[in-house]
Amino acid sequence: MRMLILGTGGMAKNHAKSFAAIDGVSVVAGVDVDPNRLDAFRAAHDIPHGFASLDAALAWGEFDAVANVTPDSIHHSTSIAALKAGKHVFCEKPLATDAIKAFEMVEVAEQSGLINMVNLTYRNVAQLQKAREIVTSGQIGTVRHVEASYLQSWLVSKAWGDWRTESQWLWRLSKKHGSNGVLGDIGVHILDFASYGSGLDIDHVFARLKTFDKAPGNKIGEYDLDANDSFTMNVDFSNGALGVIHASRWATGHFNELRLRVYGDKGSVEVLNGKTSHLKVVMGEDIETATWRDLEVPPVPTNYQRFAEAVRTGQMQEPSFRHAAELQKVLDLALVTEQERRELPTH
Amino acid sequence: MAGLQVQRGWGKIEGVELAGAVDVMPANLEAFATTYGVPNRFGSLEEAIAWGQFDAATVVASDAFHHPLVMQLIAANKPIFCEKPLATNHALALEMTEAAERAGLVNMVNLTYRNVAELHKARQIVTSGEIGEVKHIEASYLQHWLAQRDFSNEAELSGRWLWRLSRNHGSNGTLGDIGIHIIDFTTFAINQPIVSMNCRLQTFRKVDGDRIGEYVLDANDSFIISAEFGNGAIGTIHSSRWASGHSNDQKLRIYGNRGGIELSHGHWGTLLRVCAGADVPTSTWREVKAEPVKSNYERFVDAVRAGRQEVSDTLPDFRRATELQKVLDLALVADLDRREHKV
Repeated sequence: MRMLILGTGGMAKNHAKSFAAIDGVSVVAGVDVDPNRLDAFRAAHDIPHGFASLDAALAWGEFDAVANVTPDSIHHSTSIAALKAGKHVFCEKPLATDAIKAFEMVEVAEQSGLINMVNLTYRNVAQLQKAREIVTSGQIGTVRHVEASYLQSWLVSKAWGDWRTESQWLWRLSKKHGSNGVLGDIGVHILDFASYGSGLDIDHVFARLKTFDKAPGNKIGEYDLDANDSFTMNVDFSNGALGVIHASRWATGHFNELRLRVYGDKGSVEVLNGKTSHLKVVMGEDIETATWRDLEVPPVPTNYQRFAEAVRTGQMQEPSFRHAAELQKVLDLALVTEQERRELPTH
Repeated sequence: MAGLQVQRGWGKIEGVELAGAVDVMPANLEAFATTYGVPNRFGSLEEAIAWGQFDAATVVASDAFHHPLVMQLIAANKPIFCEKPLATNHALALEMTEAAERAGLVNMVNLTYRNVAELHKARQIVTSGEIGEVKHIEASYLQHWLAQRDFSNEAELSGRWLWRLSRNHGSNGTLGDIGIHIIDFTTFAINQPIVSMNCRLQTFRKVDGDRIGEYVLDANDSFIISAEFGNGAIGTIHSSRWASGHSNDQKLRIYGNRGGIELSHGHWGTLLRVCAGADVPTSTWREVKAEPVKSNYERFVDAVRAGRQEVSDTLPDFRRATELQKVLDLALVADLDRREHKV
């Protein structure tokens, strides 16, 4: 498979390294509007071709698939253009800036019959994959109750840098700089953790978002600090199970930690992903004594590897554009419920 | 519960004497009074009040009887220790509170988790400002007894469990049973009230027709609450009787802008961990030990002896229970109209 890396900033180096490391995959070209950045990127990753636009790259056409690492708002137009030119697409999250755009992308992707996947990175967590396998195989019975949290503390701790002075953090606090706050930043990850891990779709959602006062006038330089810092969600799932999903950038004592607890009528699973990952389960006889056991889990293929395999075999793999669009719908609804203060159905 | 109160509380406090007992069921009354050596036995509260040789009363009757019994005791000028929930709704609870306060009587509700020393320590850490301004909260109270039940075995279920699943047997489900505890636990620890909330309740099918004999299985098994607190913090409070792997576990996580607190309590014991001050940059959590605290029983006896409601704000009085009742009432409303409500 010949890969094109579209957009050479930020996350692109992970894509270049990860795809180049896969047998049978070569990164053949990069695209960026900024020639200096493009040159540096090509030099760093030994990429033979470079283009100033996707159109120019498509006119050349000597590649099979696109890793779309453009800014969020560009995902829609570029993914659709690539798909229409017959290229498989591996898109960074979020798939689009709203669910309407995301479903437009789904439609084009599904009509094309091409491989379309979204890089929800926590799918690479082996413990999450194993938890889902345990749940969907029926080993914990019917899922009744779910709790999922994504906790960060960079608004408190300076371990990742000082958000008061550094633009790489400040933009994430400001709507007009393109941030949808903690909901937009990590909400999609924990929603995916909760629904993928429990094997259930979200039917209804009620969310509260909160932006706490952070500076005089909630402004630092050009940045209005108006994006949400924390959210809480009440949801119900397709089988009637209830769940809470929440996230915060104020969770002192947790740098970057996802936790999922899925409770069924025959057992439960708990996934923790921080610096290290853990899977704990209670099932069978152990439920009588509430004895939890740690499960060792072998590594799973990464999203990059699974995309390469999907292209090689012609068989779609998850997470698909459709799955990401469904999650985007929940995120969009969260904003509406915050305004209307009532629960809304997802379909 | 009456026996448990004697074993855990009254029987262990010097100077407290069980002078009399009341029950409408003669066999229950006899068995209780004999077991605990209670000299005077009455078939009704009226008879006991007419006799009058007691200083305070503990109300351990079914929830629905708390209100009439407590109102009679207030009229008779007796300090009252009442099992939770204080009443079956906010209006009744408020009436009881106002009557007790007007009469100047010591009044207290037995929110048993106030006996957990680490809860008081957590509150002290929050109110001292050590973790700064509280921003984010997660609280859960998880039990697994529904996951363990065999619903085809009516005999096994009928004594202890079935009434808890049935509204017409006086159950308000997990919300009324343990929701009140976790809401108290949370709001007491952070010293902030809930000011607005959304709630969903769920009752899962246990048997075909949702009925076993006279028991309609319609009380809620699980609830989820999304709450905003007095200082603007937001949080989630949830509970289930289906949580395999947790026999009876409370977990409270409080995050402030200078530190965090995580408190776990269950049959296995209690663990209080704190990350604050110099530990914030490394996200290092340390266990914190708590000094023992007086039990609700001891604090009630102290208050009766002093002849006044204790000045301490940590005593779960009728007013506190009434505030909690308002949240429970609104939870039911929110589940019906699927909206957020102001408390």
